[in-house]
Amino acid sequence: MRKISLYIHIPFCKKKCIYCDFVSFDDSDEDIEPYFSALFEEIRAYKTILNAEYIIDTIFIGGGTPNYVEVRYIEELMGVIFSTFDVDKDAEISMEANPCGHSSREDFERYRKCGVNRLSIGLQSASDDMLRQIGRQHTKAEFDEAFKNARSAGFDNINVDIIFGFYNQDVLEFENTVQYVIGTGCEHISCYSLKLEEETPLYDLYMDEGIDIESEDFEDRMMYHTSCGMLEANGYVQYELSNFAKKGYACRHNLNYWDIKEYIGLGLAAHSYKDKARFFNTSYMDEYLQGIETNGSAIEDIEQLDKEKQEEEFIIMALRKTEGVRFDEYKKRFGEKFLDKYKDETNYLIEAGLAALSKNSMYLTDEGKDFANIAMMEFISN
Amino acid sequence: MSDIQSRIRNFSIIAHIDHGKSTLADRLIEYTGLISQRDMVSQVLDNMELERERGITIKLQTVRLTYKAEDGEEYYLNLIDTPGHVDFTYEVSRSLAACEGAVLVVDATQGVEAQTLANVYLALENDLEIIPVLNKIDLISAEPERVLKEIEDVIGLYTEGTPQISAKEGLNIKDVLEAIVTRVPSPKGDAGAPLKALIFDSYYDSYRGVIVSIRVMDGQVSTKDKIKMMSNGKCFEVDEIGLFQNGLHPVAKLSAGEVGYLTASIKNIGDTSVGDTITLEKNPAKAALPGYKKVNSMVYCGIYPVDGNNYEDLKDALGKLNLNDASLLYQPDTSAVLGFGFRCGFLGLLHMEIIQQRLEREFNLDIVATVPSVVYHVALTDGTVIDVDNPTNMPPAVKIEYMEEPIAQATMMLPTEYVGSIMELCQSRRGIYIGMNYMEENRVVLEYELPLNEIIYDFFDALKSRTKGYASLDYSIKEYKKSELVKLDILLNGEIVDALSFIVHREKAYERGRKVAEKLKNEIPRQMFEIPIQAAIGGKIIARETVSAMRKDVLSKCYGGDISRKRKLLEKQKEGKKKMRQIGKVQVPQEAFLSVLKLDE
Ligand SMILES: Nc1nc2c(ncn2[C@@H]2O[C@H](COP(=O)(O)OP(=O)(O)O)[C@@H](O)[C@H]2O)c(=O)[nH]1
Ligand code: SF4
Repeated sequence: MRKISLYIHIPFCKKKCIYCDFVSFDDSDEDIEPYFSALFEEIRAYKTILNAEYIIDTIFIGGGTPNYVEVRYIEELMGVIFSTFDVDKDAEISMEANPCGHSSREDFERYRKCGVNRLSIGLQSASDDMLRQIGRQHTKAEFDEAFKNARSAGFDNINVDIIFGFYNQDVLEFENTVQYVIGTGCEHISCYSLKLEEETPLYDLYMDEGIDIESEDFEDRMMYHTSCGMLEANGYVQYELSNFAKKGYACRHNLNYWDIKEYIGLGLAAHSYKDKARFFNTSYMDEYLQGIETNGSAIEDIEQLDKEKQEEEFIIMALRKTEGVRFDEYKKRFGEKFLDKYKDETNYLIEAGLAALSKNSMYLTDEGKDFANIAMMEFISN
Repeated sequence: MSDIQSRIRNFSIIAHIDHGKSTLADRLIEYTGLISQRDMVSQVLDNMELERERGITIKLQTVRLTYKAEDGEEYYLNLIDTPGHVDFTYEVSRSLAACEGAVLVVDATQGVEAQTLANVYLALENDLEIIPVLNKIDLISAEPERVLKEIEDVIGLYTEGTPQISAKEGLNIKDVLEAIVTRVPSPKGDAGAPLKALIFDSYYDSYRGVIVSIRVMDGQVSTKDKIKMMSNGKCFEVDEIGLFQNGLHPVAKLSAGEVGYLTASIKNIGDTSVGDTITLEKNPAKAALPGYKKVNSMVYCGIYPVDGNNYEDLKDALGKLNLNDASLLYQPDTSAVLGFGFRCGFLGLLHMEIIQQRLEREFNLDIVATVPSVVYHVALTDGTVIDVDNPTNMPPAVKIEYMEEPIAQATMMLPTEYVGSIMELCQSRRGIYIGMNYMEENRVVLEYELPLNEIIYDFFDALKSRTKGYASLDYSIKEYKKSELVKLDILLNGEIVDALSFIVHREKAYERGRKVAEKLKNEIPRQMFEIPIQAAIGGKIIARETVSAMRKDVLSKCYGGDISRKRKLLEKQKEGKKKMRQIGKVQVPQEAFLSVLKLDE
């Protein structure tokens, strides 16, 4: 049996946040119905591909805002998945949710009942002022409400997303947010540094105000290291650059990405990795609907990875993890000793203070976490 | 004079850049049927990629055309191409020395430009019959009357019967051919006298060795003849002789008046200096042809591989370029920060840029070129005088009695409205005003004496940008003059970067130091630590800038959809890093070395 993960993309939101460049729409509710029909069809079309050989290990329903659409769509989605694939009985099944979507206790009970066993709720900030400024559709109180509803509906594995690094955010405000999240007692926290994306309203705002992005980096790092320290002190163990979890609650689905395991992404713009090939669906709704209708598939491009690229990806993704590149795992996959092959690179990074060695791994130091790209670049061939 | 000799016409086409020299050459070749239109790769004369891109000729090409004229006779027209830039003035003058006439192409929309004049002067020095031709008359903006008058007034040429053509559309090409036949004199020269053949070009062919382009002035030369180079006395046996007709077309001999090529198993292109005279070993000419001189490099710079491991590749590449270009000098050099590389000498700035680009494009090398320098004369306190072309070799100030720098005489032509701005530019470049002449109501010729080391700092770019591209420039070295010069050092992270040092006039040192530091600050990307950039004269800091430290370089979010994108971004980042040169701890992009030159804002 080969384990594989499943990602399902739900590209609808109530209203776009000003920093968001994900593929999701706030003006296309009329597409929801046809989208799910197409999505179900795409899932069924995979039945022959993910035949009896595969067992689904983790599922992640992401977006967008999956709880923005009627709950019945998710129920039906889970039904289709279970009836199409062989899903492991211990599978981790996550869903993203925002407080602005369906988040009453009854809603969460229905999500649980149809199979979802892990939630990832978007808070972003515990300051209503900040939430308003970045275009979020909820208050801190509404998040609080939603979180409690999820708990009382029986969700015992909940992640909360927070974000830092806005130009007008001060460190204290962010500390408050971190403190608040810790107080919720959630099992998992994703703590992201804002990445300014072109073609977002926030980008235009930065340009209009003449804000130099790099000038914000000093505070950004203060917030990052502060939050790392606070979370660590409260029992949240950092296991990836932006992810923290109480013992036993690391997200298995995301770990699969970082461990370069196989996954199938279904829905608009979803990415897949299978048989050493990366492929992804179109990002255009009409192309997707059309493609599924006519061919049962909407793949835009495929890239077959040669050994070099597999190795590059393995290392750069492993470096995201706190444990770093595990030598035994590297040897198993590529048949060589990591330290033999990357002696110079490793020495260079250690000397620069970016990386360190343990008995079975090379990992990024705290400083290395700030300059992860520079460290990773060492392992890019060519 | 033989019948054939009387039907030979040797001529060049001269023009300011872009006035249509190459296009006209194409039409002449096409018209006389040497190459059918279909086979023409457009502008056969400019056949190097880089040349075509920049629209200039570096390597000469010569063609022999056969033309049946109105008078019923068949004529042999040797079209000798000339390089189109000031750096190659000497080569131009030697090509012209091989001719009896020159077709002067003037763009009917632009009129006379600086290079038009410079070329005319060269042609007159060589006693050539000049045939003006107005080109681009197909354009509505053409002003034939005005430009003809300009040619008469400014150049002093008689313009009646001037062919008015469109080289692009093939209009009136025949007029040009007829003018050549009727107005350019047939070559003089005595086929019975001892051989005197002028070398006007040479290039290296990996199978045959050096192929020498010659114009036979007197006597004749045949295969198997033992020839002698009059400048250095070296002798060779001729393997092949021929005409430039459909490529290389072997013949038994070349006689007085003819233009062609010879090969003689010559391995070293330096043995066939342009301007030299070839004679026969047995029956040598008494005196060489006049005008031979050894050309000196005017501009020097260091060239280093970005990756020190590519030193050998760089050496091979320079060797290969040098096979065809004896004017490129190079010798091994080391830099404290750049390691092993070469000190290279060039005829001028353009020559330098072309070589640098060819190294990158044709040989795929990533190189770092250091700040160019002119050759200074340094008189030492012990009475000796040395040449310094590398700031690193400048002796300490206490040992210097005085220094001299090369001064150029610059001729600029520009619309009147820009005179103020350009005078200001020249003044700021330590120029000495010589004079100004109105060519017509709204255009002037401006003459300045300018130190060459000011011209090599983006003077041409500054001139162009201040005149919206309407100015043209020509210059030649006039003399060496005493000057107050100092060496300016640039320190990165506290270390002197020898490759960025340059010699500058004392009064301009402060300003230039400040500008260079500012430029570098913008060119050097932030790194994991703060980088001070300082400019210093003799250990005294005169300017400082700081590249502040980069605080982070990390992608916070990376899930399933981001992995291959992330890998590609890192690949790109790595690609960029490969183009940087590590100096101490600091990564310096190649462009930073060049940007130091571009200081005019
Ligand atoms: N309209 C027009 N354009 C021309 C004519 N002759 C040349 N050109 C254009 O002028 C530009 C420069 O011509 P080129 O022969 O390369 O100039 P060179 O630098 O003197 O060799 C090219 O774009 C030609 O196509 C002409 O008679 N009419
Ligand atoms: S809720 Fe998430 S997907 Fe939707 S707009 Fe905001 S950031 Fe983007």
